[in-house]
Amino acid sequence: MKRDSSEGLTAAHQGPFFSASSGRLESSAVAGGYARATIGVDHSFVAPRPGQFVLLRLREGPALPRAFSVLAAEAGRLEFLLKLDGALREALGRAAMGTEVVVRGPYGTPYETRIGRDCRYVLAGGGSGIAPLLHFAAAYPELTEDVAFGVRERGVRDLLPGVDIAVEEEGGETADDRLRKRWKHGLGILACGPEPMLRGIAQRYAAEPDTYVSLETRIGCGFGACQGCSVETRSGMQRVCREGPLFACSEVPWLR
Amino acid sequence: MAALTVRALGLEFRNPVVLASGPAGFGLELAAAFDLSRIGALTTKTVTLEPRRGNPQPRLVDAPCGVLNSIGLQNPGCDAFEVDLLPQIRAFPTRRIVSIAGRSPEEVAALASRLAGEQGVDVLEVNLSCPNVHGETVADNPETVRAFVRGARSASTRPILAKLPGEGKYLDLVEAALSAGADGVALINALRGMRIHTETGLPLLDRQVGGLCGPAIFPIALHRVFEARKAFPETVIVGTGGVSDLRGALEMLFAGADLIGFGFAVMADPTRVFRLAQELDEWLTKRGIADVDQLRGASHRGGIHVR
Repeated sequence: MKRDSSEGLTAAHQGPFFSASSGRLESSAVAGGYARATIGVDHSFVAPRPGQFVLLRLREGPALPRAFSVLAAEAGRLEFLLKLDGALREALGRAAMGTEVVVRGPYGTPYETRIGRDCRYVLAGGGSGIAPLLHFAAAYPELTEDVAFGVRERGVRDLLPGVDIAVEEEGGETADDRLRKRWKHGLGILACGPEPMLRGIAQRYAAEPDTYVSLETRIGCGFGACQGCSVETRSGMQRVCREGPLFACSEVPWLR
Repeated sequence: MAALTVRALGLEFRNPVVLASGPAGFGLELAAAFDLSRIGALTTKTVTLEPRRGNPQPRLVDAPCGVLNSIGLQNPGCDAFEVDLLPQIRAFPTRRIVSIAGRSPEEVAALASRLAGEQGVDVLEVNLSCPNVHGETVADNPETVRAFVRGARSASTRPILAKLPGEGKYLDLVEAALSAGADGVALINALRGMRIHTETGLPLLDRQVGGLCGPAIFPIALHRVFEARKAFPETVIVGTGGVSDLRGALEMLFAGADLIGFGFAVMADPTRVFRLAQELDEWLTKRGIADVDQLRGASHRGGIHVR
């Protein structure tokens, strides 16, 4: 569904939201080392735009909430694709339905406000980096030329039926391989995934005018104050949680 | 309604809730979302003479019941602070504690002197305990503390707090800070800790060491504040370290803190910090305690029910 509410955008740029909610885990399916989980939140919780993230915390989990981009968002409901490799993510994947999840956000600058609007994009996603790109594709079909998604294990396909994903253990093909085949001059790239994948993309496409990478660092406060997520850019230190998470590839030369 | 006002450092603080230096940044983001008149004071991120880029990623590494941080005093430097930030900070409807750090007593004096004429700087906090910058500011010995505090004292008539580590002979450091002219101490800074990647065997942080903060250090911070209050009954203490809720705040007051610093909690759950004064008020009112002053140091004199 395409939404063009400029209200959400304006508000996101006026200041951080402190909309918080005691969410409840509504559904969770686990396959291939990932979980697809839905968390019910208050209807007043501001729905994240593609590329924005929320902070999640379980009562029994790590003390500092963790940042997650969303796979889909609508009033009262957030959906996530979680890689089950951290304390919180594993706990979320195993949690019983109805488990309370503390949700805060959304934070970060929506992808659409960081990118040029005069080209279409190949969305390159690896692992849970696929989630915000699917969110983007659903909201902006007119900006989406193609996808280049990849995961290691085939189980993930069961969690995302109908999504075109390369599975490394099947044919050895990666998101990166697909990007090489599907990108051509005149198209932009939106990439989100593990750092080695982003490095590979940066090495090949950084000089192209519309290559963007969605960076991941451990987010602290989420609202731009603590500098825990700051990275070096050509315009000085920038916050992944505020100016980011999306950066023009040319802005982060250290990634190459 | 109980009285929450704290009189300390020659100033009135609306309540004992202080945002500690670091996680709150310079308060601009929080000011856009919260009413700063609901807290007693905001402590700025540490300002240095020159701009600092801080440390490379990763800057935050999870730890049981907390996080290791390695920000490395990223800040825009004193010039930009005075021009771009202070005019906004000056307008905040709360007390403003400006944290400063230098590589030498002379640098601290220069900063204190620069800020001496600025309106809107209620208190200077000399950061003597940042674990995250190379070769400086973890003041392990009383001589260093004395020299740095003297630097600030020589250049400013403002109230001065010394932010001290909670490690080593911390009471000697408190003594040194006070004898050099500090009006009080903020105890404790993050504790030095580390984590190692189990796949590579390499430290997770670039500088190996980071500052452990969060609930993990609360009992340690509480003990340091308790000991400092016992040894220095009259000095001003900002009790900081892993306080995240009303219960922690109460314990800090009982141990002897005049003001309570919230650092990690601002990162984890800012809404809660901004609700804390109200929770404290309700707690006092429910028990018929008229003034928050009655709690301060109660552990040292037989608890709250014995006067």
